[in-house]
Amino acid sequence: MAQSNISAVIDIGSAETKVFIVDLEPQLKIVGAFSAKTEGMRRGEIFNLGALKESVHGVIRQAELQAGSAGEIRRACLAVSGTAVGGFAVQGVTSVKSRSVSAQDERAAEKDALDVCLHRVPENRRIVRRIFRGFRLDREREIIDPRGLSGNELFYDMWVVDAEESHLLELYQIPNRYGMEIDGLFPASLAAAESVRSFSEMDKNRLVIDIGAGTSDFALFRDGRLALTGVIPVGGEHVTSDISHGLQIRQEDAERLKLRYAKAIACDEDVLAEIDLDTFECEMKDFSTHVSRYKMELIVQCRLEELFGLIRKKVEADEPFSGVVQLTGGTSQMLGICELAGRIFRSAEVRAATPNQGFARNYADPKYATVVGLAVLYRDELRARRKSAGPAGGLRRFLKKIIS
Amino acid sequence: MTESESLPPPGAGTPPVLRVKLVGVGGSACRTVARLCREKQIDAECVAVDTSAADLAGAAASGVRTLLIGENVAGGAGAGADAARGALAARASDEALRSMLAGTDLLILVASLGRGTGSGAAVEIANLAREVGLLCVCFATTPFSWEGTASTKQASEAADALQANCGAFILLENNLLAQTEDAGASYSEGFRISDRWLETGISACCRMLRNDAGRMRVDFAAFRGLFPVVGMRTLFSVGFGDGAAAQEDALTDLFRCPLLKTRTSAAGPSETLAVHIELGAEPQISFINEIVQRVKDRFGGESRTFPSYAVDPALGSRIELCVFGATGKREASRVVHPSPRTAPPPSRESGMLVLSPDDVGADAVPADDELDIPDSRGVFGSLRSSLFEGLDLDKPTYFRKQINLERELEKKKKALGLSGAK
Repeated sequence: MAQSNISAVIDIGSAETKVFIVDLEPQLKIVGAFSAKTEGMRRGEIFNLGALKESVHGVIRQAELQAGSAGEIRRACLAVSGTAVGGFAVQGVTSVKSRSVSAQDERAAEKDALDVCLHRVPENRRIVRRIFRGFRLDREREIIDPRGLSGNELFYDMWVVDAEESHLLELYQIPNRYGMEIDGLFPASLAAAESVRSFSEMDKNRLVIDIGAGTSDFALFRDGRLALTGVIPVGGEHVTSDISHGLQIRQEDAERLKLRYAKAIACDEDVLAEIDLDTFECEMKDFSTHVSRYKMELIVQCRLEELFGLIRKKVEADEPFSGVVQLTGGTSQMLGICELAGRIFRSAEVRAATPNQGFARNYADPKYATVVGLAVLYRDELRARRKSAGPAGGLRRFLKKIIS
Repeated sequence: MTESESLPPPGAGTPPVLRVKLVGVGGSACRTVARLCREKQIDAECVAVDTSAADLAGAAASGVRTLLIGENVAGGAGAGADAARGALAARASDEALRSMLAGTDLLILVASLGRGTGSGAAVEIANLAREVGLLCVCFATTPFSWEGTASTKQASEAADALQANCGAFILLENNLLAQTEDAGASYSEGFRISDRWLETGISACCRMLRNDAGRMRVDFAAFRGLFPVVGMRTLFSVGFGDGAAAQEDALTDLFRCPLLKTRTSAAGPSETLAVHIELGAEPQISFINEIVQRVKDRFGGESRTFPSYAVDPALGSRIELCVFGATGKREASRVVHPSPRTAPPPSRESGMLVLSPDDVGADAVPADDELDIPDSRGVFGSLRSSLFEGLDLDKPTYFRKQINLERELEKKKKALGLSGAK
């Protein structure tokens, strides 16, 4: 096993950290994997960096042991999520020099987009990723390859994901202190979307929602091309917290009830159903021994309806959405969640999606969506870098700067 | 020692009368104080403080002492929903406020947060009270979620500042009104419930401290001891019962009081408790014992529990319960209120007693070791609240949207023809 091809792929979630040790060449292969509870992070925000480092280092160590390469891995790729992450659209423009579009025009439009992008990023934020969305000729036609086509103005559309610099610096410290260099950074929303991408849906309108513990990341693709990404600071922990509040039980008891009984839609048949708290050894706070299932379902429905409503508002800010909705993350397993999402997004094609990448068939669980997608994106990026002889982007320069 | 030296002069043995001041700050709070003064027998001097002369005129008509602040800042026209202006008005009337607070033992502050005077001036008055070493029990109302981001943010900031400066801080979130089982259909009925919590709290505060015909009461020093440091989370709950099962109903109501769910309410059992019972007839010892024991089982009071009761024949078969306590050291600062009429404090700094951590015993600051009763931000309570499009998404959605779970369940049962079914 050539050590230069071995890398760590790290997804630090609010509840759980997942690490894959992957062999990138000749074919992507998972050689070690481990996941465990995350400490020091909640709702995507770091509140105890020391505890976070310790818990993530523990997971990396275990994954390395599995791969039989303890302390030998020097490169890592990270997923970034949380309220510190944002995104915006950028458009660059150039006048077509001759009658038809040339490679020079393409580069000029791209450069203009890049200039606009750099001007729009505030001082305390950093660009995580720039994603090419397509060209437009004279504002009308959306084209992937405009070379040779006639027109007056060429537009370059780009989606930019940025994040608070302080958050990135804190995040980078974690693999750095373990002796790893951060070689790749991707928004969690893109990684989750990549892991559940299927050939048959490549050209469709597609919305991927990754419901994590503390935040929900989403990515919208129109006609197969990325339209926008976003993060809503609501996740499965909020559902648990609401149940705890509404039923006046402890958070850990609420979590157990949620996993066992929660439904995303309050059902008529559960109106009289009660959960016996004694059987769960719950610590009751007001002498109740039973709680209503319907009430719990109502609490959950309110929360998830609001979450999907907020995402829909973002997604439909410019134009209505119709297409496939894919749900990933642990909460996507909840009963009735697809039906509820279908109601909110008025889509008949809603499904809980699991990673469908062949190399990760042992990890076909929605909670691994981000880390699986991250491995794929990282491999593709390395291949692309190799092809283009590695022009270091702004992010790589920034990474090098802070590492030094 | 001569006889004349050893005997106190005539009348010197009479305990001094406790001076309680009920101060409303801001338009809505002034109206509440005026109404309490007019309709209830509140044993306290009532004062309405506002920047609006028009609002104060209404309070004055109810016989409440009024204090117009910041005339040169607001011109008697109100603070324009600007907390900074409200605070400026209070600072401009610093002398008048100081003289208003002079000679007071207990300050009960009522503030309507979200607007200018309530959010700005109330914080300044609480600061003043802390500065002169006055125990301040603050009841504050916050706006509904739909009243807008600016109001919510202003109220949230003011609530944090008040909690940090008051001995006891009780937050009456308007969003809670939807969570009461008897939340009526009308808007005004909802506010009557909030007023009832407020009334019961204020009345209990005053009556538990009064020597009422030799009945059991709480000594002021003991009451002060409930809140040894400012900035603790206050345990406050009220419960009502009527009829044959009044006792049981009142206890159930007390344990399920929505005020236990606010973000500033106590996060665990309180070491010390004050339990006040109001009822229509003289109670039996076993009756008091049972109530106090049940309250202790639920809320703590392991170190000390101070029961008190008052009889008001007008209550008939009704019982009203009120519990005070404090817990948690997260927000607490090491500054206690000196007792103005007790032995001189060991060290003084601007009227405050500044203690070293050792001076405050373990009993005084109980450990905030478990989130026993979930507050409205639940496990996210320790994180800074981040408003997303004007919403504090850490708070439960059903709570913010004022969905009453009990009522929704009953409505559904009715719709399915299952009313009364268990």
